[in-house]
Amino acid sequence: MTSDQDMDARLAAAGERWRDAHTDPARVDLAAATDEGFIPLQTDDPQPAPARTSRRRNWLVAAAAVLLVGGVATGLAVTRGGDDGPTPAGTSALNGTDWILQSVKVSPDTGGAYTSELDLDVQPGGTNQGAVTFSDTMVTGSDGAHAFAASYTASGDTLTIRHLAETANGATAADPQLAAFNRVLNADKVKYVLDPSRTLVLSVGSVTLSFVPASAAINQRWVLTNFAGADGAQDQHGTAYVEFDGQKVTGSDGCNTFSSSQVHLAGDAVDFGQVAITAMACPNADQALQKAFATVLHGPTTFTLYPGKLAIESGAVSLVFVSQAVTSLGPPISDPIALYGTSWTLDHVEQAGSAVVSSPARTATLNFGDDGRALSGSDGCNAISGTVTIGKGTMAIQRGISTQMACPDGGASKRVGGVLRQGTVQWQLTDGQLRITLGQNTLVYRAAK
Amino acid sequence: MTAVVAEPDFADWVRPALLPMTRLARRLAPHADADDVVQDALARAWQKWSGYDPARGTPTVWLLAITADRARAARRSNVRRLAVVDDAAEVPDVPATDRTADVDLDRAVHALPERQQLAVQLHYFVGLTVAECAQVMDCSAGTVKSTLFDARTRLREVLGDE
Repeated sequence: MTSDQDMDARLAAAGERWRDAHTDPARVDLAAATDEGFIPLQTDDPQPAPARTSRRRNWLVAAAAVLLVGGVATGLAVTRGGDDGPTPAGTSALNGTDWILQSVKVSPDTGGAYTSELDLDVQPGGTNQGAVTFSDTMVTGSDGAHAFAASYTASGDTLTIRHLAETANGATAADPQLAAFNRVLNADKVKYVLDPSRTLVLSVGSVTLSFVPASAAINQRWVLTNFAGADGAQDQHGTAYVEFDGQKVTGSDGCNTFSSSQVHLAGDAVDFGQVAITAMACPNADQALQKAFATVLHGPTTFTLYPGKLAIESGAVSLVFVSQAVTSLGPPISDPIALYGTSWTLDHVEQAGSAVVSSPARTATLNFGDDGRALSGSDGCNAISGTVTIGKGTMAIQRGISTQMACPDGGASKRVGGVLRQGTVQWQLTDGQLRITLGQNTLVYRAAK
Repeated sequence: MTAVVAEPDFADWVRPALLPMTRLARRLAPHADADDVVQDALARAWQKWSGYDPARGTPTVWLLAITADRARAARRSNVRRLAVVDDAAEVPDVPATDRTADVDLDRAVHALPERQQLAVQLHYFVGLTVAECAQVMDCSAGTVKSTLFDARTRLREVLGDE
């Protein structure tokens, strides 16, 4: 019989032998990185990234403060309105409400501002999502590309918006949704209607923005992309998901499935009620993930909706999901935030639009950080890392550390690495595929499982 | 404003930690490519470099914590290979009986619960002190000691030494 001391000695000896046999550090080319330099994350990124631990309302309030102070102090933000301070709205029914854009309508009689009738339905929870949040004196939100903040007063069916401040990130005002928001936010008077079905309608002339309560956007299927539990944050590309449908919820923690028909949403709080869960034994299941799901299902739990993303949190546990609509069939998507926190596996390479050329022998991958800036992966032979600035349909890659192994694959990995070299490439999400194009070469990725 | 940082500073800063990072990557994700795991960890470290707090540990400890996180992600995403056997084959100077025992021990260590395995790998195979392990694992030294004790007890049970 061995004692604890014996096992301690055995481990120490085995460890020493192992270290003696492993004295070479990883083949990481720091010298190459020296030549290129690195660009750290921008702290003044005009497009706020989804944050796992912050709540949307907090972000909006913070953005409002920054915008209003910044607008006065630096003149960088667009400001409008007189010198009079904000007037409390008092008993406004809008106070404390969150709204997600549902549709944009523009009639032809707009005095030439628009050339044809526009009736744009917006997918709740999708990318490029417009949103507004009302506090007692302020309205904050996003037109889908810019954050904005303003003071407001409500009288009868009319809103008066003053002291508007917006971030400027280069998004084009030719986008019909942005133009409609711009028209409403810059109007002297905005008509508003809170109809019995709890839809908020803001209108100026022939421009109408219709909103649904933010909680309604949660009603869809969300696929887990990463989670943070007691053991730290982890990326997830498995089968865990959650699907909301009114008071019902179904889902899977990657092993067991659960359901409840007593879901109650109040503000940013979610109560799952009595949850039924299967009790299968899954030897290979991630126990930390199962614990994380159990924690949030039993609460107290809060949720935060971002464009295309949902975070569900309870204490230190956080589950971050991406809308399944982002990776399912649908029209092409080029909104930068659709790539935030996503992971991809190379499916094939296209050359000159149609010719399919061989792929690397090993799996080529591509991962975008939650902040939309970090880039990592592999060209199928050598590792790829760096930072990326994702624009609408384009991305500028700044390469960082990479390995430099010989790749006997007939140049397949070199072709992949050539597209992802430092520079600007075109990208598009379509039919669940990520297509990255440089010149004649297009890399076609599928979402990593 | 975007600032371009001269890379030699970062390279010099991480270089002393490369070997322990590599060892930890090999121990925690034996079926993954250690070069890739370390590279991934360095990329993360670069992005978080400004948030490094010397009061919470040495650069090596901080980099090992990131490596542990990236190794865990790699372990879940990589195709399994017979790396345990491969590792043993790389030790030609060790007597055959020790090699066999080490393979058995390796298998048992890799079957430990996640926190226990991390503590064992850091302390015995990477060679950190208990205090350094505590900094990597973001817990107290006492917790590391009890975790190591639990791990050794489990190993004795699994290896049939009791």
